[in-house]
Amino acid sequence: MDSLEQDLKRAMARREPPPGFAERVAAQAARTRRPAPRRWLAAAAMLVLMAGGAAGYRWHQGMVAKQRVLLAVKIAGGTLYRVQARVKEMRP
Amino acid sequence: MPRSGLDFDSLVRQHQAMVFSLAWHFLHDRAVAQEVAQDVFLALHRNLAKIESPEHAQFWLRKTAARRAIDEVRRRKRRSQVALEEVAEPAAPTGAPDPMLDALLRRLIAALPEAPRMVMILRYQEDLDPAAIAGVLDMPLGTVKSHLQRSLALLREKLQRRGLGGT
Repeated sequence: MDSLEQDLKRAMARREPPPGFAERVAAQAARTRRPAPRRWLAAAAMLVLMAGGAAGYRWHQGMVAKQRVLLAVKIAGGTLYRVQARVKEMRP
Repeated sequence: MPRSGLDFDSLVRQHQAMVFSLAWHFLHDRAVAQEVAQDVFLALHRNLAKIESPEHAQFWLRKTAARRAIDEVRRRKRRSQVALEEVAEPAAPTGAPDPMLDALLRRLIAALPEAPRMVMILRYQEDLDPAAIAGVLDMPLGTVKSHLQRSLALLREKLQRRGLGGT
């Protein structure tokens, strides 16, 4: 190795990073160890909520339809009763 | 937990000077070198399970630090690519004391194009032989030797021009 190469080895010798470097790296690595919020979990929760909402809406629509049918049956029953009563009155 | 049972904090303490210096000599900017070194160690943390031995850790860190430093230069485009022949010659009196010569050499190295610059850093900072440098940089051995010879010749010429020797 000639003198230039020796000069280069000296000039290019390793240097220590600023104080606290290793601690900062360790702290940052520790932060990355925390489990990241799972996107799939949020998506699944959203899906469950949407499915629940749809099921609830269908149940509500069913109840409304049932109420309407009951009302129609009630009205029809009342009308039939009145017609029968009138027919009975008209018989000799 | 890594297969080798290596401890991350110990690896950081053991190799911080090597990783930081590779980045600093290449980038010639302490703050950016610190960022790059930090990124390299965080990448090591993510890949710790793949590290098989202390030697593997050292090789992995050298390779990753070299790659990240080169990427950083390309990304930031801070330094324009200047051939060594075109670098302005810093004023340095004949018979300059070693710290000045050291600083001059580091400036001349920092002015080299990317590939020969990293080759010179791995040769003189890390004391790697050309075959090992070729392994770290995934570069043909002949190219490594050519970069070394050409860079040394240019440095010698620069130094001799201002009477600083360079035998």
